[in-house]
Amino acid sequence: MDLGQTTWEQAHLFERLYESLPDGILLMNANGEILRVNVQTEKLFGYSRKELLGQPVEILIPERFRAGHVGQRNAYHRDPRLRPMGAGLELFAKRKDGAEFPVDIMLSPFKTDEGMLVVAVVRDIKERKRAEHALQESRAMLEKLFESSPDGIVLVTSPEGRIVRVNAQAERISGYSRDELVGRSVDDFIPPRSRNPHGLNRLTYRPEDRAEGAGAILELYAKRKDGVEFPVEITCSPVETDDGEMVLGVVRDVTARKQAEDALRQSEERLRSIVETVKDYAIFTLDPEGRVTSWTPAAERIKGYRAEEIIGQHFSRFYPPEDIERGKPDQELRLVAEHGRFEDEGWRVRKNGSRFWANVVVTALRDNAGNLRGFSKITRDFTARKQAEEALLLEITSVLLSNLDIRRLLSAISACLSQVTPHDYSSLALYDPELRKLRLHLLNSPAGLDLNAEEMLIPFEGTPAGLSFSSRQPVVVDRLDDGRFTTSTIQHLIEAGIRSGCWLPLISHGRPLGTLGIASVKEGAFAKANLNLLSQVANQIALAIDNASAVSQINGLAQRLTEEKRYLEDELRTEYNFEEIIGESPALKRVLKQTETVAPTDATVLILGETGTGKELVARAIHNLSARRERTFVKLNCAAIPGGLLESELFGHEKGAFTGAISQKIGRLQLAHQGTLFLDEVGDIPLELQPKLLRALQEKEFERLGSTRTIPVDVRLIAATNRDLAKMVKDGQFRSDLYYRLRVFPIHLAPLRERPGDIPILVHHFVQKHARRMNKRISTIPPETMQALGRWHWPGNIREIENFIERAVILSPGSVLRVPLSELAEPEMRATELSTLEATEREHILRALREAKGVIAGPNGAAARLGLRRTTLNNKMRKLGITRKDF
Amino acid sequence: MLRITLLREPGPPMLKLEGKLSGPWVPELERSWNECLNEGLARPVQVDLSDVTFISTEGETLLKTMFQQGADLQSHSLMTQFILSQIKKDSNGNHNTGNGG
Repeated sequence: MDLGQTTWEQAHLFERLYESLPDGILLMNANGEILRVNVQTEKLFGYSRKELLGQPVEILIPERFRAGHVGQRNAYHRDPRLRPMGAGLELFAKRKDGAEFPVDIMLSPFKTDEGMLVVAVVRDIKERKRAEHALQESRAMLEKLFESSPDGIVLVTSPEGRIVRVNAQAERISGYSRDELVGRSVDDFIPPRSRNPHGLNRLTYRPEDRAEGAGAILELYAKRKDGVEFPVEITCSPVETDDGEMVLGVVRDVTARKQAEDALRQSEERLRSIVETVKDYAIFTLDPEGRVTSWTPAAERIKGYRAEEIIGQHFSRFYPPEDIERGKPDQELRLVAEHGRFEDEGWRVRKNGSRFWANVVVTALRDNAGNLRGFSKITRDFTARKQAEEALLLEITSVLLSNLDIRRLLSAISACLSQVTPHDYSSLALYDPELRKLRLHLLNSPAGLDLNAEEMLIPFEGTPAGLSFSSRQPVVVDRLDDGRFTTSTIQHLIEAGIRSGCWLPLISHGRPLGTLGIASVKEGAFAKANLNLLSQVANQIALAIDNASAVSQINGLAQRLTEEKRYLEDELRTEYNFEEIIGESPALKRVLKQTETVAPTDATVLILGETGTGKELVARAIHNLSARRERTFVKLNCAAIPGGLLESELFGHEKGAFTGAISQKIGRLQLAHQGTLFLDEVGDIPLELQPKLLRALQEKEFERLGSTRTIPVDVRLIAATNRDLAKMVKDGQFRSDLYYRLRVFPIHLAPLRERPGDIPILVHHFVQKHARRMNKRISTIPPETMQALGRWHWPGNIREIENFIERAVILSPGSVLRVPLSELAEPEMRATELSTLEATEREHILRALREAKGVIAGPNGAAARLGLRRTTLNNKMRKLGITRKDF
Repeated sequence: MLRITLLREPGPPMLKLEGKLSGPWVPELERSWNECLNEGLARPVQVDLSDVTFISTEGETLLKTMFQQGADLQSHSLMTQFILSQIKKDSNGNHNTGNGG
């Protein structure tokens, strides 16, 4: 072996070892100058080898330690030896980037020919320091846990059982101080009756036996310093300590838990005892799939199954086959699982196949995490109740349906309700489609409940009745004053002492008619009400109301038809039978043109004209030419009705509206609905009635006397009068607003005296008419007769001429019309008229005489001025009693 | 139709009748008249028939009874005045006959 070679290899091996060491290694001379470093040194300090060589070692030391380091280095050189540094010294080194890190340093002297060198092995202990710190924190935490544990912790020697250490809770639960506990045997804290087995247990203790706490099942007890025993749960685990193997015992005082468990057990026992002694309720439980898991004696009595034969079976066998086919049992469980509770009534089947009417309450059973664990079911046999209810319903139905008069029906409903449920208030709220509100009808109300007309109309919003009507569901209110419903109607109920109520929808043939309200002076009176029965009663009431309403409607229509028939019969009796308007004068043609123009419109027409000029005839012509001709033309002569009855005639009245109103009456306004109302002699309408008529015309609605119900009406109005309405307005005898409302389209009928050209044609017409009626043949009207008729001024107009001609036809024995011309000078009228003419004529003659200065004859005489012959004037003067002294 | 209105003031009490005194309104008036009697209204109670447009035979009989019971029958209408005069005449005649017999 070549020694030189070997040395080189050794040197090379050393070099490789030197460079691959995990610690930094520095070679320094006595001055602290760095002579050599390995790779790890470069990594530790962040300097390159080149940067480090020749530098004082102090560059690797934080500035605050440098001053002392030189002295320490010199001291080391005086006494060089292998010396570890850093353990406990908290040495720090400094990187090139200024960061400091904890280090352990091992110094060893190294003698060379050039003197003593020092090898420093530098180890980064940052990770170790961190681990030590974590360990310290962990220990401190354990210590804290140890002391603050809610359980007593005892460290005892094994197997002797001598207590070495205890925590504060161990002191509290045992009653001994820490000093008293340490050094004692754990047997001292065990009741005497358990000491022997405990000693044996301790001696044979093996860690794996006590993986879980003892005592939970074993009923272990410990003994306090005062001798009192208490239940404990103990967990033991072996621990290795510096002093050898020991056992750590965790002792929990379970007195409170034991008490709670005992209370729970007693409670369960009581509950079980109650459940098992309940006879009328079949109480049992199901698993989530619906299999029976528990069964009570009452369930056995009601359903007929013994516990051993039904437990584990599916509960669907309790249902009738038709329900099973429809999947009702599973549907029921789904509903309960979803909503938590389900209540139902229906037929169920016993073991022997017989059926009974059951009231069933199913509740979902869930654990603390909310997982479904099963269901509890309570089934009551309601067969007897069902039969009683059906009997009651039958009776109610019979009573309700036999009352077709709505008033009697309301009384019947009130009587029926008292059989169904005790209450202090009941009402019906029926839907009024015109007002879109519910109209209240009180059936039974407490004293002091005073509702005005407005409060009898119930809105949908903010009322239990409205809510029930809208939702079509019963609404039960346990406290009316809970703030949910604040309308004045509800406030009045509360003020009258009502505290709770139940409102049920009245539905007939799928159509909501209104609601039934029942209320009580007690709070929550309907919380446990039999809503099923009440709903069935409500259904019967709805049906009865529907029937009564239909009957009332039919009666109403029949009454209206009767009224119409009576009216039309009256009309027939008084009919003038004008088939057409006779005449050819321009004045009449103008009227006919106006009639034709206004008829197709719905405009109000005011016909003005003297009596007998044919105002009604024109009104009928307007109606017959209008779109309303298929409907009724209703006439009311305002002058022919006593003032006190006019309102009733016009608007109708309710029964009892006034003394004498012995039945409901439909007014002319309503009779004329969709037709035409002709108000003749409209100027005779009493002033106090005029605003109501005006409102009816403008609003197209009115109320009957004695009623608050508004009746809409669609009527075309034609009014007529022979009075000077404008003057009446001026004199305050007629309201101006009504006048202008009527005077939309005025038609003036000229008196006959202003259209004498129509007299011959009228005479011929009436002669023909009455001759035919009297079965006479009149072919000749003498010319002088016609002239006389044409001269007469006819103050009674066409009515007068017709009556006159009728009389003439009666008096005519043959084919020539014989007219009693003497009648054309009716004494009083003529005297009045002539008196006026005479006065005028007299005054005119006197004026001419005065202008002629009393001269009668001659070209400038009065006779010439008057266009008369002298003798004629003289005769007139004699006749008029004019003498010289008069001029 | 007949409207019956009891006017208590001003002046002595008065039953004002408007419309037709016939058919079911005859017993209705009788009922109202009896109420007036039972109420002990000051006598005589005036009955104003000015606005009565028709009086049936039953109505006349009732008016006669009312007249005999102290009603002061009044009217401004010629037709009714004639009927009332007949009623009063008959009543007085009967009354006299009664006294005479």
